[in-house]
Amino acid sequence: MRRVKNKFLRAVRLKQPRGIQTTVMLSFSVISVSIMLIIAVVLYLRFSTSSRQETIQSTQRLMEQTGESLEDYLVSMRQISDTAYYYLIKENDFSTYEEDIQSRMNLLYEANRDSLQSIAVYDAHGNLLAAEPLATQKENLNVTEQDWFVQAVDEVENMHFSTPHIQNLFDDNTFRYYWVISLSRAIELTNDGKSELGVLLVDMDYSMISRMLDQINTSENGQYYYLCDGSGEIIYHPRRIQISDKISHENSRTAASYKDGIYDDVFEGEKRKVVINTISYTGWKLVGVIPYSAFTYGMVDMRYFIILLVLLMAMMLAVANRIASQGIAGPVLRLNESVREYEAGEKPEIYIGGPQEIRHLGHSIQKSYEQIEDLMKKIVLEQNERRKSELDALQSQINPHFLYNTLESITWMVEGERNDEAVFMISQLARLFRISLSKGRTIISIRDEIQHARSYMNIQKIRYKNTFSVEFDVDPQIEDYSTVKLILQPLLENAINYGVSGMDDCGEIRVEGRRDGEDILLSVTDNGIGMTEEETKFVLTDSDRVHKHGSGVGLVNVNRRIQIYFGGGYGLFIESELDEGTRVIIRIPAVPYTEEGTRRLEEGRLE
Amino acid sequence: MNKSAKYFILIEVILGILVVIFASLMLKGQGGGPLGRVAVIVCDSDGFQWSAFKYGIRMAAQERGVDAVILGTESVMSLEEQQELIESELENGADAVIVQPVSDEGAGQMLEGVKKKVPVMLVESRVPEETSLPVTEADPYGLGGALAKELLKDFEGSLEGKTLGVLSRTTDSSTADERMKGFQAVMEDEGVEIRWYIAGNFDKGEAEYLASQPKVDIIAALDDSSLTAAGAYASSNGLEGAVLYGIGHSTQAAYYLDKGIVECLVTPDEFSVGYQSMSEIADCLEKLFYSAKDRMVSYTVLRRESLFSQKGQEILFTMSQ
Repeated sequence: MRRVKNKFLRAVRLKQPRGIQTTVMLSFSVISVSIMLIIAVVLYLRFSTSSRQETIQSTQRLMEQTGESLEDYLVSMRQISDTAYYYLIKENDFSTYEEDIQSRMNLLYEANRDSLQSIAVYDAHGNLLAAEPLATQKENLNVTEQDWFVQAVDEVENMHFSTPHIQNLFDDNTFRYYWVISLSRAIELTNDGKSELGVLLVDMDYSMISRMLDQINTSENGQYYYLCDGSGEIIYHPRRIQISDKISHENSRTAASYKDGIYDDVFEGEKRKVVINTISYTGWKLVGVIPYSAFTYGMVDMRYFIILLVLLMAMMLAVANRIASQGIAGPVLRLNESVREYEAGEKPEIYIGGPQEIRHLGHSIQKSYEQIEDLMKKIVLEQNERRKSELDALQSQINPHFLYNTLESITWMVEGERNDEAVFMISQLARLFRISLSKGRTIISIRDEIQHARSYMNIQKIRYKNTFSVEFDVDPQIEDYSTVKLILQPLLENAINYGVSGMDDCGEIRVEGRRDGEDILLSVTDNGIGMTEEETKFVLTDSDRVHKHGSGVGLVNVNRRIQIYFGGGYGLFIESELDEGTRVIIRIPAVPYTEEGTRRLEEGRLE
Repeated sequence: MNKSAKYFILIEVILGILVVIFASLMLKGQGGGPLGRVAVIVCDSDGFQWSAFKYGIRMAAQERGVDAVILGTESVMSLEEQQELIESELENGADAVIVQPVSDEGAGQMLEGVKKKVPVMLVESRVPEETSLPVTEADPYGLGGALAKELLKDFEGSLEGKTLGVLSRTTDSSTADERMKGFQAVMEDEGVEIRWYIAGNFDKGEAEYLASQPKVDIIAALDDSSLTAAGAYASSNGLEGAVLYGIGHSTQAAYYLDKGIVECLVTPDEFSVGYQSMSEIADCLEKLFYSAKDRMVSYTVLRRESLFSQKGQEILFTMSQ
């Protein structure tokens, strides 16, 4: 857990802050996309709501029109029934006017044959009295058991509309079976002067009703209309057979219980709107079913259109946002870029442009950098001064030490009345000092440095009574190169003191000088007592450790002075072996001894 | 190019691609036509016996948004004629075929070839060969068996000494064969003597053969055309006391039942044959990897007294369309 936490915190710490342009563009984009989405959603909701209302309203209108057509049709059927009863049957005696009744029924039938299947009159025992069109009744048929007959006899005061059924009355040798809706009523007929009960049957052609409803059931969005009676028995349904085969189902019983209006209904997991319109007199219900999916059916294209609009707007907004963010962040970015370049030392100019605030910022940064540069120059100068004074101090550490030793030697010579030697020594000392002073310069030619070393060794040889020999082997070609003055003398002093002073006439000191590529190597080699490996290792790093006999200045000072002027890659390198001798090598760059070169070295600028 | 410019171009490209996708979806939605065109090929397609089947085809096609074309055909069709008809329909752009296969050898191979191009659904009968072609039909063995059981029921399980004549449109089709097997399986060991078994296209007056056949107690017609032919013959000439039983699905067959000429009618649900075969084909057209399956439909036993029952009326309704 802790590991995860640490990892997360590290990731957060490492996360780079966003650029100003990204921030501006991101902010613009978030705002514009949010506004766009809100507009799109509001537009879509508004449109879908109005579309839904429009669908429901158009369904209602269509149902009203269809309902009226149905009612007209049913009214016309009732009128046929009324006409047949009141103008044909009730007024005439069947026994007397059978032919007349038949012909008038024929007229009535012919006038309405498009919507009528048949008209028939039965007595109370189910015997056929008259029928149009003329047809033979089926043998052994008992109509009194048929629903329409039963209903008519049971409720004599009403007309009865049956549910659709196959007409089972006449023998049709064309092998046809007709799907009809029966309108039956009890009638009072006169036969042989006697009034008796009968039943008038008007069989309506079901195809009239199915055609009416087929015409409105053309929607592809799943919306449909059906007709049922007051108990939910289906009269017409576009999937009538599928329902009877249980392939499909319908909530007709629930719909039949509704009054006229619009209802929300959930059937077999599907949400839908149900619009109810009751057909007058029959109690039939014309039901319009609008599944919720139908509301969105036509909306698919609208959805695509809105999404398309949003995408196009997003594309345009992205361009506009980029232009705006570049306009705002551009000058800041250019200023930042110029500061970066300045910091990397690539471009000294700071960008000054864009709006007033950015210009002011640019000016301020430019001014600050100029001030910093001046301060830096001052600091470098001060550092050089400090280094020079340190060097002077080091040099001043050498001079009294050497002078003390030499004068002590001359004193011994004078005391020993060795005047010529004393004179030679004084003249060598004078030459030594002339080079040492060198008009106050620190950088001298290698020629002068070698001369200084010769003078020094001449003095020392007298002092040590020639107990050691000195050999100079210096390539003349390196004599015109520059060096820091007085670097050989401490080395020679050490060679004498720690190398050959204790030896009897066999001490040898060799001074060599040669070019090594771009460098110059000067070396002082003695065959004295040498040093252990440990002493060699610390002789340039720890001045307190090996200077048991020395002045405390020696090699460390020389090394430091060379590195101050020529850099860390130069200085002293020591090779020594106990009882074999020591070799100290000076490595300095080959800088020709010219006015310009000397001046630059003096200023501490070696390039 | 800096990072921000790269992101900007990437976003613009993605949005551009989405615009193209939605624009094409919108255009496609506007031009959405029918799911496909399905050719329906059955023998004697204008006959009464196909009314319910065609109604089923129409209802399913309407529901599924399929353009169904029922081709006009003669009562007899050879393999070559059927193949020619199918190929001509495919050339005219049919996306699937519902076909009543002929019983000739090679029909399976020919239809397997068609199936490689478009979905195929067989109706009413199978092909003589063993194939993977899906079939929608009422179980022929069951139909034959049901007819025999009704017969047994009427004779109270005792047919000992009775004689029987069998009528069938063909004897070489798998359907006729299966119906006969189903019929015989029930009749076996019942002591009934099958005196004759005749087959023919009774549309052309072959029913007159009946007159030349020896007298029998019972006649069983194993398909609609033989039943209606026998019914027609019986209504004009009588059957010399023979009782007629049959399998049929036309109003004509129902009429003979209504008239009492046919004692019992076993009716396969032809509406479902049409409806389910078209639904399967619509699934094939709609779903890329859907493979049509066999569909078995039910049948109903109708008697004169049950012809106008709720179920009987529904069957008559589909037959009358």
